[in-house]
Amino acid sequence: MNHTSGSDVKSQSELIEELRKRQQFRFQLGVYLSWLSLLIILLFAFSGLEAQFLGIQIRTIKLDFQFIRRHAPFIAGGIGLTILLSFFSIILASCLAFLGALGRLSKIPFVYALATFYISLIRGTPLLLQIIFFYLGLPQLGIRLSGMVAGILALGINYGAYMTEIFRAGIQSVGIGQREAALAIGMTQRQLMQRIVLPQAIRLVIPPIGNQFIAMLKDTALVSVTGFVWEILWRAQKQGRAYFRNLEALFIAAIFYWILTIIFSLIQGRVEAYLAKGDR
Amino acid sequence: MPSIVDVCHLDKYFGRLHVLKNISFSVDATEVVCIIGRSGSGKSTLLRCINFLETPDHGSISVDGIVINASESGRSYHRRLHKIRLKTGMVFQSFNLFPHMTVLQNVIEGPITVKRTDPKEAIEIGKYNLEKVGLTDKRDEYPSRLSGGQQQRVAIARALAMQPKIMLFDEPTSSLDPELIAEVLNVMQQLVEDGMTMLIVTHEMGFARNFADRVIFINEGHFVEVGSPDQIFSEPQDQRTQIFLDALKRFNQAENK
Amino acid sequence: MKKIIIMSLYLLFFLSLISCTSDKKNSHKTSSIAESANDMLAQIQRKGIILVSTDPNYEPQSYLTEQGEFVGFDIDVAKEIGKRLGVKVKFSTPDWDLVVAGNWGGQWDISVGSMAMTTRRQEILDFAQPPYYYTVAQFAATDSSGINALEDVNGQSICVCVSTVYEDWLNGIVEFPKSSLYANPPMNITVIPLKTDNECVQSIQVGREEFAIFLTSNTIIEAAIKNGIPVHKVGHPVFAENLAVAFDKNSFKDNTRLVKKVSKIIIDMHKDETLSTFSIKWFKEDRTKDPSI
Repeated sequence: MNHTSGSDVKSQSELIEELRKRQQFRFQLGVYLSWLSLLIILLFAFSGLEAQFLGIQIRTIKLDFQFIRRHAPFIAGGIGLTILLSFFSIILASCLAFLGALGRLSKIPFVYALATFYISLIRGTPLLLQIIFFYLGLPQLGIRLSGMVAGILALGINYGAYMTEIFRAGIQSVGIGQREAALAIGMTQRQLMQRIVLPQAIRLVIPPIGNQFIAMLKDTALVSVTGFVWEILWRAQKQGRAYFRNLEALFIAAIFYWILTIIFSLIQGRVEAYLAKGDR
Repeated sequence: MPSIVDVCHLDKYFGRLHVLKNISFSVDATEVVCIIGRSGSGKSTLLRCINFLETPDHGSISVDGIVINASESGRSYHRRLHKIRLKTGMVFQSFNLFPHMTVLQNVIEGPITVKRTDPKEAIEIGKYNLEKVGLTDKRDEYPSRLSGGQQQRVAIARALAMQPKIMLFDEPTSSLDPELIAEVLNVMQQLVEDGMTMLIVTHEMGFARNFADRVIFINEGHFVEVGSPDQIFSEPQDQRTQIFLDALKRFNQAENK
Repeated sequence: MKKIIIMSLYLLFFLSLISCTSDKKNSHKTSSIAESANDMLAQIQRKGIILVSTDPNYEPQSYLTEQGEFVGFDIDVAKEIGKRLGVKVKFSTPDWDLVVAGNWGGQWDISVGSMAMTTRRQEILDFAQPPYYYTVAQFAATDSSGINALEDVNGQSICVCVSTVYEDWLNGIVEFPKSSLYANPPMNITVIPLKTDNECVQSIQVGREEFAIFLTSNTIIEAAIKNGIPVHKVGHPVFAENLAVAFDKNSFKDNTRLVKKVSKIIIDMHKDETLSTFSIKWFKEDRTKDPSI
């Protein structure tokens, strides 16, 4: 019950708030400790140590840590290319996804057919295949592409097909009421798209695009198959094979991909929070 | 006085459903016409045909002398359509403000984007109309922060900013909490006094009674009765009109309890 | 009208993504010396750069230092060829499959990659004559397998690198002159092709048990042993490989003069012992003498 006087006595709502904050703190603490334990277990699994636990012999993966120390810098050199590849590919993918979404929503038969054909073809074949095709098939048509451009094209076209759904949902999320209001004041379809639909759709579409970007960071590893782009996985494979330390080299690559993902996920979280501020 | 809106032999189908049956009527300058009827009677559809948010299947519609016949298409059609939309202002039941723009931006969007008015001039128009609806202090707010009544008033200002010849209201207060209805009706009353031609679909009998020049009762796609407010509300000729008014009265009474 | 505009915009957008930097493909062997515009050697000398393909998977032929520099026997040979042509060398790293398949699309000019000359490869690639060095193919087995003689190899699972002469030979496809063959393929074997020779080695290294034997070049076996992998050579070599510089038969420009010039350079490098020096540096022995002579 509330006491009516005394500044040293807290009100009921303050007490509830404190309780809530304590619970939240306990939860966060639990999560961090769990993460730490999982990380330790993972590191132990790769430590090369052997242990006895309750009579059971536990073996761990032995890695050549000297190799890791010496070759990690070279493999890290691929991070820039990985990010660059992802960045340009996502931009291309977004443009294609937007056009694809417009195509899917179009009433013109050829445009609709083109969009759906593109989506079906690209979603129906593996990304690896598409990358190899861009690199091998096009030269026969007289089109010569560098490994980087082929990679960006393949990744962009591939992700563009999958991302059309995102853009379509974004465009359609803008309610018909607003569209009617825009038409009622005399806007053309193009003005409607530019001034009303797109600005709102873009806000909705940015978080999913962020997710796609993070996924694409890993898919850039497939570009290593052309042999020309010295990104993370390519470097790891070459060093690993030449020195017969494939496991170590791939271990290094995995760590770098993981770190990249964590960093960009944090950035994405910030961006989403910023965008959400404008919402009710 | 020349008529602002002329509807001739209008037919509209939704699939097999014959929603509007051979409707003909006109609205003269400065006239205030209220359309009443049950939901599904076709009243909203009729209103939306006038600015072609619905396309008529038969008949013709003319706004301020610009004529469009049913089933037209092509460049000339689009030009006339555009002109008609510039002359009509519509206020929707669900306000339909642009949520990513401030109140002022909502109001001046039409003049700037559609009419290519100079931005400075557009802002003046915006301020003027916001003042008219009593929301000058809210001009930099986003619609999500306003009450329903305030949003609807912004919507009215947005339509007015285009300087239309006739204002079309599609059940403007049906989505509002009762205590917010009055502020919107007050603005509409002000418009009547300013001499604006208005075509209103509404359930607000009080407003119709006090401010309409003509009331039309529509049922199942055709006009059952047309007359002055006194005639319709006090001495309805048709039994269907009477039944509808009774039902409405009972509903209002129940609400007021 | 609007529809046509929109459709052509779509088309233009897609086309603009592709940067066409292709040379016009002329018909193959119009090798008039007067047409120097179509001559690959002339083009290379004009540009001052020769593009060499290499696959830095293999110590000591071609691999990358920790700093990412190309080093190895093939690398030194390539750089020397470039020096004697009077041009700079730029290395390109396509996957081995792409090099062996020909139709390089002009992406690189020559391959100095320890490629064995075979009759099948000669259909799509031109080779400089003579080869610049020679190795032998050899079986290797894990130390714990107990396989020590060539007879023990019959009936076993054998790992090879895909798309190599080792794989072909095991499958009974013979592409060498008789003088290079020292043994017949083993019988009743299961061939396990992996992406690279090193993967055969690594499989053994990590203790996988799909196979205990692999077939590859003696240089690779030696590199594995050097790196502490528990394998040993089994029996004597089974065939000899003539390793030569390769060119694309289907190149856009005519490479006749280029092949002739590089062949001459290789002959010179044999004569003045440059190749022998490189060989001793990287293999600790001279592998540049033709064993069939």
